[in-house]
Amino acid sequence: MSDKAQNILIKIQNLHKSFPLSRSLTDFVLRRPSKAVKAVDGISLDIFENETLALVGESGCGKSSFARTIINLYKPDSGDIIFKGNNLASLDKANLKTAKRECQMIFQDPYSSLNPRMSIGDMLHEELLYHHICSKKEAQTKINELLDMVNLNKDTAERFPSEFSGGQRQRIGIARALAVNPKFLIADEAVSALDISIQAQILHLLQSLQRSHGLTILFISHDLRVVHYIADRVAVMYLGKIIELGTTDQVYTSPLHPYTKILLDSLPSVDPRKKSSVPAIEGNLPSPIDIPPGCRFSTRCPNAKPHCFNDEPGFYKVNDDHSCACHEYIA
Amino acid sequence: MIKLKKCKQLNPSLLAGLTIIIVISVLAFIPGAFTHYNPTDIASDSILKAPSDLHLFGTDNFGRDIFSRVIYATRIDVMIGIFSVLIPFIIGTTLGLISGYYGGKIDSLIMRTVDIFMAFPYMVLAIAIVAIEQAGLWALFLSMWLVSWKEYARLIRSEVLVVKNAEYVEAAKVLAYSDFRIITRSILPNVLSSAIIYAASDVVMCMLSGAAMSYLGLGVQAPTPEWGAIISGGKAFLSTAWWITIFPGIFLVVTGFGFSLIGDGLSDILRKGRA
Repeated sequence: MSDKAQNILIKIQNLHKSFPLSRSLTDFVLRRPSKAVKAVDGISLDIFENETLALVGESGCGKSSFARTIINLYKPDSGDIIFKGNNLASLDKANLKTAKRECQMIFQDPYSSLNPRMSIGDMLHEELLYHHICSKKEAQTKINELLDMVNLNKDTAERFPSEFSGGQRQRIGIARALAVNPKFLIADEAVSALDISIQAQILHLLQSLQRSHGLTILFISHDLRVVHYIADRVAVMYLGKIIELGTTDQVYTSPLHPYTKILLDSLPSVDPRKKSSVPAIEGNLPSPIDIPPGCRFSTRCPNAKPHCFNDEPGFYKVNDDHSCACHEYIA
Repeated sequence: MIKLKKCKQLNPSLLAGLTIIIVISVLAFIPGAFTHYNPTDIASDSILKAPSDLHLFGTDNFGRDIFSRVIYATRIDVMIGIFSVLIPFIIGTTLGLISGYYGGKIDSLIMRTVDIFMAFPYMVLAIAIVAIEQAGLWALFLSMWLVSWKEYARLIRSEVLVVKNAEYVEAAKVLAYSDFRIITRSILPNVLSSAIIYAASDVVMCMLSGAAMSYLGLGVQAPTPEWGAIISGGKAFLSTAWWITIFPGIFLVVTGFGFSLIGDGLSDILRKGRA
């Protein structure tokens, strides 16, 4: 992957998104400053065409907020999302509809991602016509093709979401996303609600669809084994920022950031006698309302130096495709 | 919304309720087929007659046939029940959808208006409207519409707040659907069931308060037959001519019971349909 000439599909520049907390009357009277959850705190990231980029991090680090900001479910506070030369953060309505069609999403919870009152056929029919993918006459054939593509029977179209299992629903979710011929697909914890055998099926399906449709996938997960299996590149996120980015091999074989090291080491080993080389991570994720000064990982880092608590590290390029936000790697 | 094939067997309460209401509706549509007496004809030779072959439910103090009055009143009472629910249902649902979906200032505005109407006692409002307008069917409807839309707005809003965060609504947004399409196609079908269930019981309440208004002389005016008005007219003769009040009372109770059964049956079906 990395040796090919790569075109950038989406360029994200210094993206910020925070959610203000509601202020009580006493806060207002006492003139306490208004607080906000900084879910996405300055992310810059290039996503290349046809790659699978995995975004990993623990719960609450802002992965989903990041995804929802890219796809315009949340309006970004600042920063740019350049998709095929257009800035999604400031696009007029007509062009936004086309741009939005090309960015689709697969959701985490297969039980709430389908409208319980709409049959699968009606759902697909609606989006095909809304985006002028095909004519009314061709719709039925197109729906059958889509269902066939995700290995579901034709009679699926007449049935309602409540009649399907989690894995089948996730396939329907994939069919819904691909019906409008997107270029870019976000899979937000798309397999984490499924059991392990179904996970493998869905991952295989995603891989083959990526090849056949020329998709670019942003795969969000907290499951490092799944990521290792599917991703070309991995971005590690911590408290609203990306702290390490590299090809999957680089990140898994020679992780740079102490957080990544600990994260990989926490994976259960096949050999029960193998002792862990790094100490287990302590404490919880700090609150995204009060992000620690200096390096945001300093409060939990086993080898934090005094300056780590004061200076925020930049994002240093360690080698070709591998970068990291840690003072250790200042060039 | 509900596919008929999905509920192949109607549940017993819905079936019983529908049967009652169908019978009542037939009475309302063709009252002339069941009685040859004119409900407003006064007959001085047959005053306060007890039920007999000639007058099935007896006659009142003007010699009018109670059976025919009760049958002719069905149309007005069913109309009061249905129309005093339908309009607030539509208005309240629309406002509730807007309030819940958009939130913010619009939400505050609508909900504070609801609070104002909540604070207003219904009968006082009704009397005020009658004072402005003339007492009659129109004033009755107006007062009912003004008081009952708020319940639907609150009910729908609270359901929208839950549904609008569902992932299928996000999926609709990702597909760049317009707000109108998202509200009508993704949200409305999923929030409507509780409002429908409430409406079925509200029909009963509206019929009863319609009858109560007529009983107080604020609603339908004499000599138009209306169950509440007939009961009101018979109250002076309660000890001597019980048939004047009993029969319209029974019809009121049975119709109310029918609508309640429909509401009960609908709630079973609609709740089951929820995944």
